[in-house]
Amino acid sequence: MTAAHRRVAVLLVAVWAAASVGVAWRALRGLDRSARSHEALALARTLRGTTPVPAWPAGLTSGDSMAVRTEETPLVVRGRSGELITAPVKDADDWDIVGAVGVAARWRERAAAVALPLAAAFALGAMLLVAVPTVAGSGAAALAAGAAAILGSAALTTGVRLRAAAEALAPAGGDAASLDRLALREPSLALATLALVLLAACAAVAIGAVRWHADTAGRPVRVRETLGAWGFIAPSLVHLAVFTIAPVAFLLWISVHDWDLLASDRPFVGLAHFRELGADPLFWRALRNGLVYALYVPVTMVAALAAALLLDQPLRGIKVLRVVVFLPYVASTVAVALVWQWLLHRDFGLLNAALAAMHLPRVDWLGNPATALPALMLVSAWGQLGYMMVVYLAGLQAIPASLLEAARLDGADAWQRFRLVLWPMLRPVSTYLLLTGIIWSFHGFTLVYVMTEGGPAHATDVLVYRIYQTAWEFRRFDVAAAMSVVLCLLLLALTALQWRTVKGEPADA
Amino acid sequence: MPDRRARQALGYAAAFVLALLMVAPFLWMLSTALMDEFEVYQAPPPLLPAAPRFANFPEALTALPFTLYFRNSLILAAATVAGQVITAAMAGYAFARHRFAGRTPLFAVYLGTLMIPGIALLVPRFLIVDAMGLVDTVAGLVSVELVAAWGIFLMRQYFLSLPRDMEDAARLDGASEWQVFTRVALPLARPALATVALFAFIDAWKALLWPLIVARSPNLRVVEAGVASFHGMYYANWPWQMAAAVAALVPVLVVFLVAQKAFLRGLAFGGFK
Repeated sequence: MTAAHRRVAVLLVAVWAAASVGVAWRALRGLDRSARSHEALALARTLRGTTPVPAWPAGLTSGDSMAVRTEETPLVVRGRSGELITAPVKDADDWDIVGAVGVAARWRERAAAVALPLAAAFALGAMLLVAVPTVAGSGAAALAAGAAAILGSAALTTGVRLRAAAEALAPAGGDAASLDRLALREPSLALATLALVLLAACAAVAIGAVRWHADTAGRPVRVRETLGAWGFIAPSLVHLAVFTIAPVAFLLWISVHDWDLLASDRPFVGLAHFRELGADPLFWRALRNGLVYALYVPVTMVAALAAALLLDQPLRGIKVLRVVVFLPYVASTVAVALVWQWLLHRDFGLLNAALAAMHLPRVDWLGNPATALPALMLVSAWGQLGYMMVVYLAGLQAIPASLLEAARLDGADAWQRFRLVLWPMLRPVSTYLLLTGIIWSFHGFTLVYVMTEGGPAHATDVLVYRIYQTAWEFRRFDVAAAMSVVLCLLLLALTALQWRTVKGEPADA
Repeated sequence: MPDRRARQALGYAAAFVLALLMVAPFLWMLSTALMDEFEVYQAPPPLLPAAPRFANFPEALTALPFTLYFRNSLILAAATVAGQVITAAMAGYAFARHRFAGRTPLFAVYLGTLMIPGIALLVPRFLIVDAMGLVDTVAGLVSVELVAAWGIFLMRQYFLSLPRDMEDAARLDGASEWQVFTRVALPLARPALATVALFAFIDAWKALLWPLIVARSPNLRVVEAGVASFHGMYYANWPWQMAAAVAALVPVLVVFLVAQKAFLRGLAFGGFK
């Protein structure tokens, strides 16, 4: 084992240890941040008016109950028998804090919770010193098992504590189960364990790989190369697995189950959410808006092609133009949305001032359902025009001059040269621009969010915005998932179409 | 040839109109940012401020804690750039240079992920991040964009276009695979790395939807979300809004202007993701 390998091994173990401690810390704190933002809010919304604000458990004094009302962060109140950790519960408007839920932690549990990770840290250090350079396999396995056990038990104690607190908080006549949910969400034991096992497995694999790599000198080249290559690919593969591949499966799963943040059971409901979408006029509205919105792509392409034809000649300063046209793409979209909102302002916008100067009536661009979507299309067209022009320009310059010359000698006029020579040669570029542009158009969120919020009267409500609202404002994650499935299929079909037209280009492995 | 002259004049005119069209909204943004709060409410609106009011910038940027927002955006951008550059370089190198068991199916999987629109994965990604307890944390904010399949393909293409001689020579000299990668291959791939880094930076800086849903507390807001909420709070004060917008633009514009070459290279590779 060389010094370099040892350094890598130490680094890996350190990273893994830090991650494990992080997980443990989260589990131990027992206060999921999400619990105090969206969960508490959603819970308060459902309980509002029906359930009394939970009372403080007896035996604990609230040091300063007013603090609960103003503090955003969980508050720790010290009592005789231990500590009460509270988190505020807000009302439906996310404005007033209507109550607090808490967890009583006795010192014995806290001591155990601190002692366990400490012991783990010591064990880690010892194992690192002893096991890694010598018996890597067993060392890594021991580490993994030890960590899983420690952190699992930590998560368990937290869970137990929370459940006890929820029962203690139950108001007379209320059932403990509903408060169990009102109380801070339990850090799921299964999830914590899963995370730990995954972490431990990663650590074991990484350490094993380093060890293996350290003494591969005698192994066949093929094995060594395979191992090295997988090592190079591992980081991105893990990320893709967690944040792309797993979410696809998860998305499909959610779309056919009831997903309520508050309920613990998530029954299979088949295609009910899709049927709900089918019956929802707003969904169809959003879909139709998206399709209409996408029309800006071909329109902009025509303008871009015209500009490219004019610019396809030796001109000085064209390089500067080639940079300038990308400003709208590069620029922060919120900034762009703001300035356009200002340009399109009904009374003081520059655009309406220009119309007035030409004695045309003023238009309430973003306030009128008939013009709001076209106004957004205008902004998008502005943003894409330059890019499309540059792509067309590159396409034009790739056409051999001899072809045009031959057409000219054959007596073709300008229109014929365009129709018979240039356009067929530009068709791949056009198809590419059209399909990627449409795909891109379905991603648009920022303009809608900043400029119109889907309004007026849902005139600019597009699928992404509906998904956002359904999931994060109305808390219907399952319906939003069904909508995402529809959007995903739509975009997949477009992407498949696009890849067919550029067959083999990226897929030349 | 008068025909060619006319054509050229037309070309210059088109170039000028196009450039003006692209730049005008930005100039208008800047001009409004320097106006007095009530100066803008005139019809027709003044094109330039009567007296430039630079105080709008400090006033707007302290009306909300923009220093904090810029810090958050920088963290997000730095993590995204680092994550995407490192993973793209490593995976792209492996796919371009190594023949290994499982390469073809693995490459197919990577291609497949390129097809999946990330926008449709918002809900499951959020719930996964939530289950990890990372909602409202920096880790959750940066998590999903740390790897870009697009960058992996760009790096792979670039490595394929590079000669292998130097790498083989380094191997003969006894360099390990890791050394060959970091000392020989990476320095040669600097242009492609710059492209991946640039697009990662721009995308991270412009990201709004994910930060909006995952960074819910005000002190985790990124600039984009900050300007958007500023817009809601100071709805009538257009100079302030424009000042905030200009401030949000500056970092990404500077990076773009410095690295235009890398930008055009990325465009040639496959345009916008």
